[in-house]
Amino acid sequence: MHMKSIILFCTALLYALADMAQERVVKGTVTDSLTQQPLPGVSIKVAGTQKGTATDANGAFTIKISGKESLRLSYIGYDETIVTPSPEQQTLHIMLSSAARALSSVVITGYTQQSKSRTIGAVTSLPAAVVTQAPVGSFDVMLQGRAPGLYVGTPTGQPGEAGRVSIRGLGSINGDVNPLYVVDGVPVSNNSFAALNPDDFETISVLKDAAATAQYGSRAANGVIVITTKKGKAWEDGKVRVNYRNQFGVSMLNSSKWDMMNTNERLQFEEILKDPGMPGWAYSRNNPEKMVNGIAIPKTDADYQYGDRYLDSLRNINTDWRKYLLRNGRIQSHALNVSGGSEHTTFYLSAGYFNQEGIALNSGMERYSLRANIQNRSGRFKSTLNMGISTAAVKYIPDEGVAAEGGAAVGGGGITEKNPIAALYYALPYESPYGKPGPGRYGANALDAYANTLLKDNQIKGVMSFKETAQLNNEFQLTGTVGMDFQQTTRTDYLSPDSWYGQMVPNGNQGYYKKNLASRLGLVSTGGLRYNKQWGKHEIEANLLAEINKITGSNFGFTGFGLTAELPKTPAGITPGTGDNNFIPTIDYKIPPNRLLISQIALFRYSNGDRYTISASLRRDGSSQVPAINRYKFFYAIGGSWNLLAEQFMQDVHTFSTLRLRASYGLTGNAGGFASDYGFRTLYGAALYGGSKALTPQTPGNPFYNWETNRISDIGLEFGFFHNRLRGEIDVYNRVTNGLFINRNLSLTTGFSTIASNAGKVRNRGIELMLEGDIIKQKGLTFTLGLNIAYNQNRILSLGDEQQIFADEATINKPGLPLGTFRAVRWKGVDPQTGAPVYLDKNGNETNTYNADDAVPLKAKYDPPLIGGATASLRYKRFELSMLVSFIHGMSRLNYPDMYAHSGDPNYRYYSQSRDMLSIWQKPGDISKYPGAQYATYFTSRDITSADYIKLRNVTVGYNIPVTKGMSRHVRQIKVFATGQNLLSIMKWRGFDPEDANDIAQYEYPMPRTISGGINVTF
Amino acid sequence: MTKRYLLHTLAAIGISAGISSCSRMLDVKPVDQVDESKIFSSVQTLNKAVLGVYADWQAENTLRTGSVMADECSIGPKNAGVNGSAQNLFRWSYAAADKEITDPWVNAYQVINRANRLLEGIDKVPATSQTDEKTKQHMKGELLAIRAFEHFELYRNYSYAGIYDAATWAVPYVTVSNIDNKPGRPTAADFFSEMNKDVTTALTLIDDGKDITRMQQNAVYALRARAALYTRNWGVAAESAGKVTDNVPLAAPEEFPKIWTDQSDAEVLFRLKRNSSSSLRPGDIWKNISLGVVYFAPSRKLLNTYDKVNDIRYPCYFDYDETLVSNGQPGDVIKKYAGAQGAENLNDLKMFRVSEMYLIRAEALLQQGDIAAAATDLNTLRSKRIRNYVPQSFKDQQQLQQEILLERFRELPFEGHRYYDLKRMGLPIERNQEDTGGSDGTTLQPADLYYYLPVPQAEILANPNLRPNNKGW
Repeated sequence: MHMKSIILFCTALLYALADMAQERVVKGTVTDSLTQQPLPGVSIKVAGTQKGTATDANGAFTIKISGKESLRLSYIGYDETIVTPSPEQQTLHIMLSSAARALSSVVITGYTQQSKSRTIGAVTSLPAAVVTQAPVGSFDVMLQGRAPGLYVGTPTGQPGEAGRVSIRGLGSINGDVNPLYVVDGVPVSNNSFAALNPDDFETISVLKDAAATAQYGSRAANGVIVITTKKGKAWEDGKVRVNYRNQFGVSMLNSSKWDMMNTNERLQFEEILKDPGMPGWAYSRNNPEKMVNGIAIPKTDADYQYGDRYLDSLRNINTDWRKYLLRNGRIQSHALNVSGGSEHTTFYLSAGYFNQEGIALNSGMERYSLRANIQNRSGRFKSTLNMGISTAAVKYIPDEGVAAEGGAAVGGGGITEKNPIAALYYALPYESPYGKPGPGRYGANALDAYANTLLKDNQIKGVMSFKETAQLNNEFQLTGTVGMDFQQTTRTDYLSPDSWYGQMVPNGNQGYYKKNLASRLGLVSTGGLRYNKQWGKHEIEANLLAEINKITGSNFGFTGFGLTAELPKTPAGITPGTGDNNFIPTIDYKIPPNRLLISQIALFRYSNGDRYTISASLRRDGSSQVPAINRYKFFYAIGGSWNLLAEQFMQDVHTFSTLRLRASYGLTGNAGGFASDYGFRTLYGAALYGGSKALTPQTPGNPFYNWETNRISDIGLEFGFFHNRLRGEIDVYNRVTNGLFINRNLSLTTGFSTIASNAGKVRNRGIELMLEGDIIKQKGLTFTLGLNIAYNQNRILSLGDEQQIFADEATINKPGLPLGTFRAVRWKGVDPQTGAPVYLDKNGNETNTYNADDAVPLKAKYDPPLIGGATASLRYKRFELSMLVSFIHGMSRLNYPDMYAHSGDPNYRYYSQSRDMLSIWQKPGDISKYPGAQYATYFTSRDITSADYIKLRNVTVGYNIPVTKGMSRHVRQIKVFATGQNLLSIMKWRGFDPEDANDIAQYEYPMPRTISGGINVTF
Repeated sequence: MTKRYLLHTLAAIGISAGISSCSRMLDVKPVDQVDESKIFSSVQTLNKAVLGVYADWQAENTLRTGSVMADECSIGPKNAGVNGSAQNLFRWSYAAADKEITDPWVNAYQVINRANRLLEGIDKVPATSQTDEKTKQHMKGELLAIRAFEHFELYRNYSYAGIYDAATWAVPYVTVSNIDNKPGRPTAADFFSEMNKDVTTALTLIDDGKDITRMQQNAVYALRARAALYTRNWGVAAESAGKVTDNVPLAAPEEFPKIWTDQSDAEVLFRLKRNSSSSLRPGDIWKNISLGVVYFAPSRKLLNTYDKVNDIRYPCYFDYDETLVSNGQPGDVIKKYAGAQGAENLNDLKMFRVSEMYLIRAEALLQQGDIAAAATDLNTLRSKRIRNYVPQSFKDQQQLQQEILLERFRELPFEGHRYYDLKRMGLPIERNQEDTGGSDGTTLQPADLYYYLPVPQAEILANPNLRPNNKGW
């Protein structure tokens, strides 16, 4: 034993001496590959040894190497690069490329990751920088226009709200259409993105086809978005890297089409209407009568004079309610992170603060977040712990259509005058902003509500995962992951007892205080065996995994009445209820989620160099949301890729620099078509009659309930020309959803209106194109243009035994039509003789009667078939500029706010009206678009309008401040930047913003335009 | 690393996968809800489910249609816009998809379905004692009676004809709980033969219970009397109304006001309970208390029919609120369901009162030619309501008929009668100009499109068998 060591030592020594004999000095400089800026502090190590150095302030270095030793360069924010100088090379010029630009080289698909050249799925990887550019509470809304086939509809401008995200069209009528989000291996719920700090994200991968998503089985029907957070790094200089970034800005109303009447126009309009209930006519000199107890009597001279004075006082008021109900909101964010470590252990620690005021008073969000990612590798064990904890306080405007688990309902908006955005539309220009609240005084009521209400969510969110791998031998590895996604939302809803609305609370007339606690715990545990073998050009990877996903929660609260005004916004102000004071508090309870998914997963991949890769996956899922007879389901995918350039016959073809073909086919599924986890059972719930306990049927039950499945095929081609200066990807796909979840309409005589069932088929097929080109690529100047565009054709192939399904008042689902086709009574025009609205009946004949039964499907739908984005980025020396334009085409929406603003009918004429209404029909012979004021307004085909837009979504400019020699001891890099979000919209839409998550425009919180700037410093 | 070790590992994974696929784990049972099978496990549980039939019963829908369609109210000037209520119903310009057209249909059939579900399983319920068995049979009768009541409400709203016509279409009489049922429209004759079967069976099972917050024997007789009146079955109407008047007296004048504050059950046969957790309060039809908006005020036409000094009903039914006037709203308010301070709009719904039985019997006797007996019934009622009332004699059948209709107008406003009364008699709806709220029409003739409510659009779309719709729709 002793002898052996000595021999070993001697051998080592000999080798060392031999090396030393050939040792030489290499000098060089390191610059950024795009800006050509010298990079100071880059760690340079001789691969496989402890020898190393770092670049100086000018990016220069000197190092001794020997033989064929290579240099490994690493620098924060840049890709690790290995350079092997040829023996005769004395000086080197090494360019590092920024990590964000090169991220597409590794593709993380969740359970596995591999190099892009060995991936067979349709996956778009996005650099995390795209979600941190502008200060936005919920990162997902920043993804719109970034990846082909990914559509994000932002339902509201309320800070912190998540969007509706769909990948490659809508695949379900009633099932969830949102993709699955996985953060560090843990599926996270999409209604609490406000509490995630996007500054911690490293990559965002959008998984689109079956090859990529089938491994997620039943949760992947609508695609998967995989997010990984930043990892620590053992910097070669042994020091930690500290990065601080801040951002300050302001958000304001965006470019909207707003043409409401001013006071003079309004009074003129009231004269046209001749409605004695309105001051413009009641006090008009042209009106000889006044109303007393509903009976018209002639005016006296005193009446005329009083009327003149009254109208004069109104003319002195001309309120632009946008100035009173909206504001410019301030934004600030700070993010600090530290990364470092040693050979065995690395860490990434971060803290973040984000504060955004909404443009509507009383709204906004504030978030604190902390993260620790720690990785240890020793011997055959590798342990990773990722912990992200954050707390967010989100303040909402009242009545914007609020969903159960916090946040505005997908779609947002609320058609009620208590919604301040609705009040903005309704309030009359001659209403004084300093007036008293009262019935019909919409502006004053909204201001009173702003001052006297609080609607706030306090969220706590923790996403944590622990991953352990043990290398058994060269080929086998045991892996296990335990993760949790915990969120708790405490909602406070307060209405002051002294306020206008507070004095009218039905129970007790003295305000209310409501508190609700909703918690949700998602647990995932995955474990299994991985096999990986490489020999020659061949590589095999196989995984056998078992997984359990469990979601539980709780949801309860109380509402107390009879508040003590001196104790605002606290439950201490509640007066206990007794039999004689009408203050009896109510208990709110909602059935919490409780579901379980048990899965077995097998993944297989074979690669032949970078030439061919084939892969297959098989997954068996069992879900508690499905009745026992249908409980288990197999999901699978197969796919392959072929790098044509690796073939002999392409050897002489130099046109292409990349040419890779991939194809896949597979089956994914969805188990959650019911709103409830127990929807397939016939269940009774607790109720109340008089003072007694009662039980009422709540779900009719569907014992035949089954999985919804998706068959997805995809063919993709990746190409590059001119040394990849022009590169792109094109994908063609076909996705057929079977056993479609639909809420089948029941005859209302059955006591239920719908039942969730599986019937029918929907097909989404389409084409996606992504192109990127470096138009200019010179030292000190690069200019890159990118384009992504996707066309999706959606069609319902069948609805089982049903002829048609109605989702809401405006849409129909019918075989042969796309999902979400609008349906309405057709508008023809206005009869010039009578002023009556003219509709078309079912058979196309003109009629003056509005009959809901005359509604027919229209050529309009709310899911846009054409979506895309264009990017441009310019780097000139130390300057950089990037912009994003996103567009959608083919989307329509029912525009209620605009309809109510164009209605002279007695139901809506008390609302502020558009200037257009001055041309309302008045007398026989008038040609007008707006019928006579006596006719009731119903929504028709003309209220379903195009929601297409082209938006300048983001412009960001940055400047890298030169780090002088004196500074370089303290600071490695300083960058200042400014960014603007939602700067410009081109649209036909009348209103604040066409963009939304649903088919019906209500009074959504307008999306703000934000402008901000900040500094990013690395120490 | 030996191969054996690997095999062990593989086996371990295999076993854990096997265990994890254990089906029992996936059978996640609801803890917050009760499976339907458990409902029929005892008479006590069944009783809770029977109370569940009452729990979401929104008889307010009938109050609204019966009143707003007719001439009992005028529209409040602030009843406008998206938070308004029943504006199109009032202005006779509604559409078949409107909430006011849909709600009565949806709610009545929901109540019917709840009753049907229980009727289908009630025979399985074990009765451990004689009392249990009696309670069970009583509840069966109660459920049949509710089913009949709600069907009749649907008939009043959606029948094809106004004046009873056995050959035209009624509404589906649903006796099964099958959710795939798509019934067609039976003729009125078939509809009432089904309904009478339920009423007759109910009368054999139901006791003379004392809890009038549930349907009891008197309410079933009252229902039979009312239905007979609508179907012009005068003999049955008079006889059934007589059964009730024999059992329950009219309220004494000092007792009468207490009925409307729920302090007295005098002359009430069936009272649907409301409390602070009710999602709909009867007063919500007339006033939105959380916005301070008066939806509907009593019409001048109605107010003018009373002797405001001597009629004890006037101060019970109406009030005057000065603060409303300062907000630009009418000062006259409907007080019948005004509730109390801190519990506004909150009162129980009086589904049947004895006074209606006097009016039914008077009308039935009159139609049978017995003017004297009819006049006696009318005078009996009036002398209880009007101080210093001197019984009148009536010169002919036509005059008495008009007086009975007028008395129904005065006695039963906002209780779900006026529109249905005019409709069953084929009379036009006539409003005074000052009650129209500025809209053009004061009269709606039976020949007009908006005189008959259409079947809700949602039903037409989901159920192709339900044809034809009502005239013109």
